[in-house]
Amino acid sequence: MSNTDIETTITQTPEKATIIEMLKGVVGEERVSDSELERVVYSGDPAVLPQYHYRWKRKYLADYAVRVESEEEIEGILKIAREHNIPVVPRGGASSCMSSSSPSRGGISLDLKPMNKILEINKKGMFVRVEPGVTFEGLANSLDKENLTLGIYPSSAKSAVIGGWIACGGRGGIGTPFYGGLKDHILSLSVIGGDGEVKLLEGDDIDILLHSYGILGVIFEIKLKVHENVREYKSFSYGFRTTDELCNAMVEITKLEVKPIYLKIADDELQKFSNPLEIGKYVLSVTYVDTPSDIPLEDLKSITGKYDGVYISDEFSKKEWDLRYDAEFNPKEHTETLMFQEFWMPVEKVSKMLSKYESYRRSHRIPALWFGMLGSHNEMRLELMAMIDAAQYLKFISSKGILHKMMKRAIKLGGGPYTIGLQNSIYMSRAYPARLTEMQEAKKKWDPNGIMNPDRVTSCLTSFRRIDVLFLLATAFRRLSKYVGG
Amino acid sequence: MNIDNLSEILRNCGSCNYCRDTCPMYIELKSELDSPGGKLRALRAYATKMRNPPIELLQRLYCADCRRCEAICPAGVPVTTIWHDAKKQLLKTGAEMTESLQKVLDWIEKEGTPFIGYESDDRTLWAEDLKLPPESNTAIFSGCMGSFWYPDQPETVVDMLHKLNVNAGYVPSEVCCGLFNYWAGDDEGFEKVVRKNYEMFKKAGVDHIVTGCGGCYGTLAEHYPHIIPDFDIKILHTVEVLADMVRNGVLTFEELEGSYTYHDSCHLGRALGIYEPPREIIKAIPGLEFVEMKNSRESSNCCGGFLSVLDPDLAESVGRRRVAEAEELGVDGIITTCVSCYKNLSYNARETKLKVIQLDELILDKARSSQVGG
Repeated sequence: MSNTDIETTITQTPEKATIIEMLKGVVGEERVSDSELERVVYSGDPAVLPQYHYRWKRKYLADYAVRVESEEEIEGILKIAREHNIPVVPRGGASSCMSSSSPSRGGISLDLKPMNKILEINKKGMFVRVEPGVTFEGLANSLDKENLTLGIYPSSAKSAVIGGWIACGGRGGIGTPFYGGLKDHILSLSVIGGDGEVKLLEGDDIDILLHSYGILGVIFEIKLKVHENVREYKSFSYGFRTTDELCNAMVEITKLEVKPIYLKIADDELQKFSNPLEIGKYVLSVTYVDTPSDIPLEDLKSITGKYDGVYISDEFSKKEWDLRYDAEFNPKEHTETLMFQEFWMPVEKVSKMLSKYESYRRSHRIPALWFGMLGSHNEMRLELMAMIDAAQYLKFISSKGILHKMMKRAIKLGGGPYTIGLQNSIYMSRAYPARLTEMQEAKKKWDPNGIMNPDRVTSCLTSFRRIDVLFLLATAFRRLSKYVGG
Repeated sequence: MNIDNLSEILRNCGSCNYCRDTCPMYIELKSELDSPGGKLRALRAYATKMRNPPIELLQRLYCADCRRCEAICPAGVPVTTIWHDAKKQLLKTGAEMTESLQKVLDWIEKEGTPFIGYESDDRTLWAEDLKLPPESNTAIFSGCMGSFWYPDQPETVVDMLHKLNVNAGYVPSEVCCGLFNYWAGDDEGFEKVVRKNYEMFKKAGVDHIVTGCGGCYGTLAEHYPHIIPDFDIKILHTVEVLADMVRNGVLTFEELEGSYTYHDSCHLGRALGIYEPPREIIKAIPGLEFVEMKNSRESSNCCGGFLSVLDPDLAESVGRRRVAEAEELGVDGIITTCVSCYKNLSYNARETKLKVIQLDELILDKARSSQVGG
């Protein structure tokens, strides 16, 4: 469909054409739906399942599901949304766990995944141009044929897409400690703002789109730096008896000159669902690019030995690397809700977080488990989880409360939420006040009508105080329930 | 219409969407409504907080039955079982399947095959000149594909078993194994065909069944015992029998020049875990260079064959993708063990230089008869 056709269609008055007809006019009959079934499907992401979240949101079902395939179609849809004040929720892989792409006020769920073309692989210039819906696997397969790699990808790479990872910040993933985060890889971004303006962002201007969660506009093209491919990796896993020993070793390993591709820590509760621990109670698994001179083997031995870490086995270590996409999700097989919160923490402070969570595990009888993945040279994505049945409301809400307490602690320690989305927007003013101001200014400029992914980052559905009181009460009841057998 | 009783079986899906980009339906149709994760999300919503699922939900549950979603799921969600239970429940509580699918099931009831236009009297034409014994404890189950569309396939099995000095017979009154009934959620129809076949097997004194069809094999081995708790007939796929003979040195082959890849059938591979036996046979053929596909074994991509019942165009697109994967390897051909895979792959490879070969046929052609008797 040409631009003129789109213009003609969307300038019809609502009397002559309903919203659905206008949307169909932009993308065609097949790629728009207002059926309840399709709206249910396009309103969910991994965070949406517990009933609790449905109650919390205002209007959790989208009014329309629209699949776009081009820049022109995005422009056309945004124009309709502006003119009729309809919220637009950009949707990539829908793999974020903090309700980044599920509606809170209905509106249009804008599926960008069909925009999955690799537009150019330039081996000479060592860059690639892609559409936002390209999956990491799809990109890896295409680059591999040219002996190239992006080198970095989120642990949800089996479902995440490039555009979505940019919107979520792309700071911590597999490969990021070695190659740098997504910020270091984006050469340019083409974006349509909520106001309809098409922008090409380069250099520092790109920063505003990182962690923007679709509240400013829709990314439609990305130019990324690529690297020579790496064929082999070598992994090493060590068991530890205490979290202090584990964290001390982890901090020292992160300070070595050679950085790993992947560094993970976890407790035995998480491990038992994927790669059960045979030695120790906690595991540190680290993977390096397999160039003999680049693996600091002697340093690893010396550091882990100093903290009584014991090498587990080659087989265990390899399995850890093989399970890098799955380990966080494996416990889901055994629980109705795998509740978790993700923190972005300085590595030196991880120990304090874990010792506190371990004490909550004991004092509040939480079915706790945890996992951490090094994201940069000195910061870690720490994921604290609890295996809960949402039907047991007190246990559910009080476990949420404990994760809320952990977030307050993380902020005090110099960390904050890893993903913002709908759920963690209440923490913006405390964890990232400067960024909040910057985003509020950008929101006014980029999306003056306020149609883009509302209730995230710059505003939220509830207040920190309200949540704080709710969770405080819930955790107090939970603690009491320990003494009355609840 | 409701699915309220399914909430327990749906509890483990975390909506991670890992299954989405491996699903042939999603890859072709690009709608989350056709992805396993999207459908699970909808089922869970209608099984818990919403009521009255729309009729379209049932129709979306009919898919390629490739089980790729189950293989990639990090939470072990039993997707195939969920699809079956949901279809069954929706049908029981008032949903109706599409007219075309209902016609297929009606034809199975009438003529014992899902292939409309084919009649039960013609089912055993393939066996007429083969002088098979009327009764034998080992029966060849030719399946609907083998009986009506590719009679060479059961004939090949007969020849092969004769060369191996196995005096195999067949069951003249066999009907469709019931795979389509099971897949459609038609449990009543499924039970009918299971009981009918089992009665005939018993009457003929069968204690071993050999089949060359992955779909029949899976249905007989996996689902018949659910209907007949004391089901005591040993089900074998031809590749299991033949791989055993290769292992023991009983079966050797003449040379075959060329490079070939192997396409794992979904029903034989992911459903039943049979990955190695066909590879052992292929690798035992001298001169043949075996090249593994990038997506193989648990990660093998579907050929789309099963989709031809639902949507022939979709089946063709899925088949073309799989053929393209083989073409990228630069091999001379694709070997497969499943008649349905053979049909769809050979059709979609018609404009390429690739040869598509049924493993049974290859064995018959290249087996050294001196080594296997006969």
